[in-house]
Amino acid sequence: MNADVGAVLPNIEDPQAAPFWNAARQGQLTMQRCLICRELRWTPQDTCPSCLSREYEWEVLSGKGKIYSHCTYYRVLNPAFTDVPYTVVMVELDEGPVIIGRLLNGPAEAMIDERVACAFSAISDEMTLVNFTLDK
Amino acid sequence: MGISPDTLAIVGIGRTAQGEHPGRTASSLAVEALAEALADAGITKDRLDGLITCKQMAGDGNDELVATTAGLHPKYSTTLDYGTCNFSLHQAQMVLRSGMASTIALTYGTNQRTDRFPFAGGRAPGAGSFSTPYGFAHVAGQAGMALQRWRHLYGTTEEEFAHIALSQREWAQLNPIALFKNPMTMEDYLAQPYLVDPLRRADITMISDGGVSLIVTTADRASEFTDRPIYLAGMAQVGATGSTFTQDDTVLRGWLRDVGDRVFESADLDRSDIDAVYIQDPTAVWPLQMLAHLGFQTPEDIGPWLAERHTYPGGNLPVNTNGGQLSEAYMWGWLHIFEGVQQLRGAADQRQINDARAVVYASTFAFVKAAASILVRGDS
Ligand SMILES: [Zn+2]
Repeated sequence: MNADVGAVLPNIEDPQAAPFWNAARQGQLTMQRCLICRELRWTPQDTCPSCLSREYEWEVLSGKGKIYSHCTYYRVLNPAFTDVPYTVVMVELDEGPVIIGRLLNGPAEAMIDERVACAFSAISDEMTLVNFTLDK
Repeated sequence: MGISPDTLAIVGIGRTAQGEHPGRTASSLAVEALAEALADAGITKDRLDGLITCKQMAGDGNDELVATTAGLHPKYSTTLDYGTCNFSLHQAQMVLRSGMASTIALTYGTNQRTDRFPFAGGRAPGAGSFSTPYGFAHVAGQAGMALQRWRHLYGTTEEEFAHIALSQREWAQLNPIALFKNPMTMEDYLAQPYLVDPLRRADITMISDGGVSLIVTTADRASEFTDRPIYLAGMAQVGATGSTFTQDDTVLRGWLRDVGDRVFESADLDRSDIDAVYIQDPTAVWPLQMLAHLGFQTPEDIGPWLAERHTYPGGNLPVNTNGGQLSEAYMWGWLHIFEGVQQLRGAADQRQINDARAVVYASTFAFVKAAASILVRGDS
């Protein structure tokens, strides 16, 4: 990515999203777990899509999982991301949810079912992205 | 077969030239198409008492704007932001059955090509704010993920998948208004670089400007307009299937099977009664998934079946005979219905399928919401 990435970064002051990005800055992958039905949910929202409760806690996850699918951008489709080629993966975490990040190893290593682990990439003082590397 | 006096009948169709319309608004293009549809139905705008518009992604095209532009004062009007003509037809059927209106115009216009709408740009809200920062932007990314997973599970090869883009290109060569008519061979296709691996340029919709409009009324009034009404014999939808692109069923869209089953049941027809299939195609992954999920093939068999050329001109299950969004024009599925009506009227010229009696059209809004319709001609 390049300097224009600021144009697409999320609002880290959003009350639902802030705890996730704050934890990422500390090197932790977190998601919300419902205190009533115990469902782990992703992406962040204030209501449990399973039981509609608004009582939840943030839980620290293992940060490990396997590649569910992947794709590699060869053309710049968004001016914020000129560093093609880059590979985006959907990772099925050991705890269940599927999360999206980049595979830092690159396109040749992207294979479905490969084990991966979180790699935290600080892009500014405020913002750390949750990427992945192969976990061998 | 499910045609009752209050069944929706399409009695007029209209479209603008497709391509580039510098300086035009989406509403202006929608109204130009509306004028064509009125002429096709043999009526003036005073006869309309309903209006259902579809906004373009960029936002323009709501019912107040279109009604103002066209000088309409309907008893009923509304706007869908994901019409794809499918949801629009279903809305019209419900309005006709309610009695709130009896002669309804459906419209869509887009100027997103000359207006340079940023389809992959900007800060994403909600769930997208957890994927866009990684460069996971543009529908090609989601479609690429879906195809990669599909191929892993079901074994569809690159060459088998190519037949979707290739067959639609062959159909487009028979369609005078299609924008992409250059011949494309398998070798040409495979020589194209990846845009987003595993997708090439040929697998992804073009962006163009234009408008489409339909005039619909109830079956018992249809003969006042035309001797070739086309009926909405069946319809089915699913409202949403999960809000984020992070669930197995969202990526693979297995839930479309239920929409397929219900649309055929509602029309009291079988898959074998269908003469042509229309599938809204922002990418070629949509026809791949939907041909399987609508029940025409299993996910495992669809690849080899595509390679047998059933979907091409002369095949026994023509798909997107207009060329679709991959080769005809970017009309968010509206020209698919236009073409289905032409085929059922027997007015599709070089593309005409022998004795077309019934067609099915399926579309989705992103990966979470779907609609399917079955259209039939009156004597079927
Ligand atoms: Zn709950």
